[in-house]
Amino acid sequence: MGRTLPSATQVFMQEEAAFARFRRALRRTDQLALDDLFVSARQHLAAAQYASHALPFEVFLLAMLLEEHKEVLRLKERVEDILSRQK
Amino acid sequence: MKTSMETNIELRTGSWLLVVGPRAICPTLLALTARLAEVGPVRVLDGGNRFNAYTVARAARGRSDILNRITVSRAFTCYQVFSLLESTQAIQFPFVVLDLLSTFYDESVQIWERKRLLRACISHLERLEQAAGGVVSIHPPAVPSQAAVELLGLLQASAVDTFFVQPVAAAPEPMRLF
Amino acid sequence: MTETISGWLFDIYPNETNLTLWLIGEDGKRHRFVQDFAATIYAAGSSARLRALWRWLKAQAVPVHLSRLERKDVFQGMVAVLAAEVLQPVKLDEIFRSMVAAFPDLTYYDADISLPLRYAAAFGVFPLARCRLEVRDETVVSMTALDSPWDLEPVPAPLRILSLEPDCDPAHGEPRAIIVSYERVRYSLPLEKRVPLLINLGADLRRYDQDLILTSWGDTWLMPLLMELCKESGSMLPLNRDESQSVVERKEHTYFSYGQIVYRGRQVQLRGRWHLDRHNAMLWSDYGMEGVLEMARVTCQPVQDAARLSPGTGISSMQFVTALKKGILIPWHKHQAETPKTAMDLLRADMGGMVYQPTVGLHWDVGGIDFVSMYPGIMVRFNISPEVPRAGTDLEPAPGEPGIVPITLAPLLNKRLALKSALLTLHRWDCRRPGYQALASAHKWLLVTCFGYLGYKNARFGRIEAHEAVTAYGREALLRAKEAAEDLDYEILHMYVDGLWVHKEGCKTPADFEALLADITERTGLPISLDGVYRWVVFLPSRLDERVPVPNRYFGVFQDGSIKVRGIEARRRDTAPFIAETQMAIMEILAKAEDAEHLKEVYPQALAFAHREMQALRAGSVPVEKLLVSQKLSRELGEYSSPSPVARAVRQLEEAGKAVRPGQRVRFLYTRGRPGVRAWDAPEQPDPRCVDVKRYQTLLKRAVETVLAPIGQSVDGGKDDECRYLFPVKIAEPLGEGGTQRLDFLSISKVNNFVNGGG
Repeated sequence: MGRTLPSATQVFMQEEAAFARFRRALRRTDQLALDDLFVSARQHLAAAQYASHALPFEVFLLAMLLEEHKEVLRLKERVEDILSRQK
Repeated sequence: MKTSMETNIELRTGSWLLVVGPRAICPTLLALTARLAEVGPVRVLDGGNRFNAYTVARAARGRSDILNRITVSRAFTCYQVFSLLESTQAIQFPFVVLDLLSTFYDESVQIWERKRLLRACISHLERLEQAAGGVVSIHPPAVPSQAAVELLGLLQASAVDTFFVQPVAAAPEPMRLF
Repeated sequence: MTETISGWLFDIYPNETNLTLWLIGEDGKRHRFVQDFAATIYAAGSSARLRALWRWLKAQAVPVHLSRLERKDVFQGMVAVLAAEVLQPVKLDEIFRSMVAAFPDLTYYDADISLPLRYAAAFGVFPLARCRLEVRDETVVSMTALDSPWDLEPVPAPLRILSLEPDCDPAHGEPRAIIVSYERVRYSLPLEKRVPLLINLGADLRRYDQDLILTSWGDTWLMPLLMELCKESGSMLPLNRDESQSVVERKEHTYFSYGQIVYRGRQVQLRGRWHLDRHNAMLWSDYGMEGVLEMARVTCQPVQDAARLSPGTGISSMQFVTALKKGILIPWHKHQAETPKTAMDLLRADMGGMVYQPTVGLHWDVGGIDFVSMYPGIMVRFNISPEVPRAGTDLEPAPGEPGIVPITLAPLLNKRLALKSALLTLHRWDCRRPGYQALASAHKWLLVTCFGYLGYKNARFGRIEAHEAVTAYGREALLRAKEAAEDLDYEILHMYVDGLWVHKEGCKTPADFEALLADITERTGLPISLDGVYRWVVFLPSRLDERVPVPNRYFGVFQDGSIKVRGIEARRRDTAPFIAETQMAIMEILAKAEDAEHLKEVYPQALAFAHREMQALRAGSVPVEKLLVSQKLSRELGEYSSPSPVARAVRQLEEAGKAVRPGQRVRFLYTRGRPGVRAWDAPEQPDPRCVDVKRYQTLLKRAVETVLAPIGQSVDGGKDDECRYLFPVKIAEPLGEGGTQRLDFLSISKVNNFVNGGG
């Protein structure tokens, strides 16, 4: 008996593909930034699968936000580090 | 965007519809299931591992009340398909049978046995239609065979209405401006 | 007058009237006995139909005892059935086939269960069981087992083994002789002298009276040849010990299993004697003869079947024996479909094991911890079985009687655990090790299969809800393990279904992880153990995008120096040996590093080695056999729209008159120009000068980069441009048909500079 539902990776690729037109109309630099967002969602596919959310894209958005926030925290730390060394 | 097939499908108690088409029509059938579940319970019998719950969820816009009104049961051999139909009660909620013949294309079961089982399945469809309308979908086999033609014939003879959906011709896709 | 005799149960098969049994006696003699044995088939249906069946059966020539009973069906509960006890076991299949033809609408049980399994269930015995028989006039009156398949060290039967093999592989050449060997005897019989061959071989078979004829290519070439020679010359070879029976021949066939094409070759089986073909035995290279005998003991399948059939058949045989012993009906066809669930339920249930995204890169001092046989362990501990109703997904055992599945698996799981403990205590050179390892391998295969089997559509005792429950418990157990680790301040580097990779500053020795393991067992109720502590482990990203982690590509070195590799070229079956060996050798060089400083010293050695291998390839000094690629043909030739390399190789073989079935492996070389490949097993050996060196260079480069790039990045603390130029990590371009990539000559000169300490 096989699995019936697509895997998280397959669902992710479908969701990414659904934004192909949006991506196409962006400037090249913006496209690369968008790609980064999708890559960050890929760091959390296991959790997205486990979540079994009816609308998986909502979970992927949350994952993107999570990675953005982590980056903000990292940058905050570095800025504080630099500032404290300047003193 | 509703396809013409979807707008034309109307379930009526006392008959079941047969839809014959390529696997690409599955999402439309799943969307139909979601639409039916907006107003009441729907029973899905999945004979070909086709019930992609994410597609249904998208059509239902993620609403859990709709998704909880859809019950699905999967069968992986033709014996299980028969057993499933036999054990389904005739109640006033519509039924959707996905890819009924998929397991019947399995050549490890003798053709006379598959026909016997299919005839028994049809008699149960006739029992179920007394209480509520239903849709049965069929997809052609990967490798065409005489057996498949005969099995389809059996089903067509019993369905009140058959929709044939043509596979999309391999024409170059015109540039989409909208 | 009854005699008592003890020995090892060797063979069971039906004769004209009842069953024939062979025993290897403790007295050293081989005894043949007969025994009355009835096999029962059950039918269920409406009373009217069962009455009609009754009348029909009474009218048949085959003698049957009929009765009406109630028996348990695992899915339906108690069922009223007609029991047809067939007194002549040899007629069982025949009578069943007629029954089905006459009454196709009835539900049948215990219909296609083999006689050896029925016998095993009835008397609690198994192949090679030591037993005591009471015999009157060659007829068995009673049979008692003296040992159990779960014993770790049963007294082995003194088997006499005669080996037959052609003097070369019939697929690659024309054998000229058959080599016969047994005990200290070894000689060669030329094939062109047919009559002397048959006479001499026949004499030896008779004189030595072997229990087992062990062959190479016996199923596909040697036995059919011998039987053909017999037919031509009109003489007989005493292949069977029981000369009243004919040799059993089974044809080849191809079938689908789990989405894969499986090819099963021809088989020749004997009566009163075993024939095993080394090249047609499942997993022989994994566990050899000892493993085969263990499979037979544990699954109750006759040895000749156990050798040739898959672990899935083994598991199902075990379940059948359990069911027969407990009086539970075995359905002929699996009717049971899934109990309806809501679409929401399906979203939550239809999932596999939890597969994480690892933290990509090199990590030091990593503990690899794994649940011990997780899925079988879950099935046993939480009583997951088709007939056992489940409550919620809380990690609690389902109440009530243990079901068929846990009852079947529990002794196997216990033996596996006992064996693992025993192996830990044995010294590395203890002569019992290889035997124990063979047994462990057999058990591992059975256990690995039983979960898949639980969900298999044709499995009589399979049930998708049970399959889903097992994965649900597995995910829950893994998440609890993660929580336990994080509560103890471990960092989770990766998780994969039943295992975790964790790191904590200061935790380097196995003892350091004890507390964590105990906590996890406490929280989950499942045993978990330390696979080992890695000195370092590298988790690799996707080949297509290095920012994307992938779950099953990694390599690492344990503290004892052993290397674990998953998912990369060295582990893939289709990689050419030269490339796999080079990759492994590079890892072995890197494995010498005990810490980060040491790794910096060792890295250039690995680079230099890679460079030398690349040179050897370009110079043509790599033996052609080491460049062979081995792939499976996945479909019929006609089904390929544009032939892949393996399909083109197969076409060459077919043109040379060698048929290849889908599912078979084919070996070939990449060659220059069209068609781009040369099949290895074609009659003409390919010319070494045709090898497509550039293509192999690209494959080698990729394999080397896989391993060296992450080390290089780590060695230089981040993105070092120089290392990247050596073997640049880019988005890999797919290798097109006959495609090549230009080797970057700039990078080669940089290697020289680097190795020579230049700037």
